[in-house]
Amino acid sequence: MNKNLQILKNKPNNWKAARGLLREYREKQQRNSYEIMKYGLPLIKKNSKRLSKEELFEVMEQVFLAGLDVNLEESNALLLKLQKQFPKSLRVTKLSGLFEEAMGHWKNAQIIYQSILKDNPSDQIAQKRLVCISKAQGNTKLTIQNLNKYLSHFQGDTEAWEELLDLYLSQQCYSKALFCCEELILAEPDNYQHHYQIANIYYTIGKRSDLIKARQYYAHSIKLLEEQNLKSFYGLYLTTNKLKTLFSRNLNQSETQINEQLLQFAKDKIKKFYLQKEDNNTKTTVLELLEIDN
Amino acid sequence: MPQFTISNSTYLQLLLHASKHFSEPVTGLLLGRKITDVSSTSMINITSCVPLFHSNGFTLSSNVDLALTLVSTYCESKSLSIIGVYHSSSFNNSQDLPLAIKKIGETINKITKTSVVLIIDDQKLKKGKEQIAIKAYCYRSKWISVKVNSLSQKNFKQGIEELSNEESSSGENEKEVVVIEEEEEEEKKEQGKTKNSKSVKDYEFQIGDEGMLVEKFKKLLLEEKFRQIIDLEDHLNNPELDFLTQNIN
Repeated sequence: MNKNLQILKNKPNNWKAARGLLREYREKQQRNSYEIMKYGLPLIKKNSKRLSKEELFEVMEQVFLAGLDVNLEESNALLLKLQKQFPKSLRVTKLSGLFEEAMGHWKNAQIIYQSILKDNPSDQIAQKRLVCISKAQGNTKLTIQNLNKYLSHFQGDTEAWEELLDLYLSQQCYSKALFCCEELILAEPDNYQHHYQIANIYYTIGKRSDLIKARQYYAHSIKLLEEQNLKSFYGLYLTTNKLKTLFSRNLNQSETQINEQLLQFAKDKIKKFYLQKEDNNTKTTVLELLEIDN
Repeated sequence: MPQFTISNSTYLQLLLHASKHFSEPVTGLLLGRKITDVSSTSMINITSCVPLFHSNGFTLSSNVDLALTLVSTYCESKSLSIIGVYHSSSFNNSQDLPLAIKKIGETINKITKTSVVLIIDDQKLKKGKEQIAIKAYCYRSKWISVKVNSLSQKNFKQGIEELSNEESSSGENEKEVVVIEEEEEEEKKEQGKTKNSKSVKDYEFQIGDEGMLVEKFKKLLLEEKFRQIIDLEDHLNNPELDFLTQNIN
């Protein structure tokens, strides 16, 4: 477990550990709202003098964002303080927009972001938040439209491509989801997750040629990362199994042989993997499953 | 009458799973037992749940296949069966039943001939106005909404009296109506009479005492028990974790 978090579990008032923990979360941009609020708020309220002015405001912003998830009242109080300190700040205006979003006041939030865009038409964050508002309102089709518009301006935004991928999956538009995944692979070709994800989509579409593609992508994902990539081994196992049981008539002899080899490879790896682990319900279940299959 | 019951710990656990991943859609399976008595009316008791995903992974059949395969192997060893699926959407006022969830439910129905979907309704957990926060649907050639009944101590005794006063339509023997005790998961067996008809109106989803469950949920949130929830996705990212054992109480 995280060092700072461990210290804080025993000594929740240790301001050094709290400061360190929040710094880590800022660096990694992690959304651990419960922890940030729990340890950050006392830091601001009781130990604000221990922090430099710069850091104090960064922490206030961080706790504000956490409060949007877990404690809106505290966020409101922090926002007022920040607005007092930085009355004409673009950064604080964006935070006020986020607050309106968290409260569900979509129109107010839209007004704020649109006024930002009047003076700063290429502001990426404001444009992104407008897309988020249409998502939060539940209007998936409009969100997809808006996100596509956004991506036509900011093609390099992998986070946005991942979001669009998610939206297409929720609507079960698998071919469009594939396109997004391909963009992600183009942007980050060494990222095993993207290959794993595209394999999942091909598996879901499910025709014979798609299953073969899925198998290739799972294999590529394994090639990129073998040791901690259990999920790709499962994918390989399921795909080869499906090809064997559903499409055995459509595979010629050499294809059947390759498929069988890959199936065995996946099974052996999964088995080997779990045998190294301690006994628990999951291990027992998996080993049983592989036995039944044999 | 045909009815579904859910144990208190299962209900709390699925809420905790949703709380842990408050910004994402959350999916899991419901496990339990089906009890069919002499007159072929059935009681379906949901006794536990297996958290699966905290992402849109539920829309991908590779993930769902893996989940169903592993969980059904597990169920065989514990003589349980997969009863249904629970889900919490990431949207505020979303469409009630996402297509992918319906598909999972229909797949389950093919295997176990009975399927329940529970959708977590976060609108019912607003501060100060907390209630039982699930909507239930069951599959009878299409998805139909089932009323969720919370049993409080008073209603419990009254309801049992009413049941025993009803006349059964064909003079059948007294049936045992199994109801969930509000204190623990002990099942109290009471005498009651069942109706013969199987109309949709007769389907009921019984859950424990609302006030008690709300209080317990708040307590578990304060104790941060949601951190102990491990789902299939967590397991795939860190195989040290065991997603088939959950101990929240």
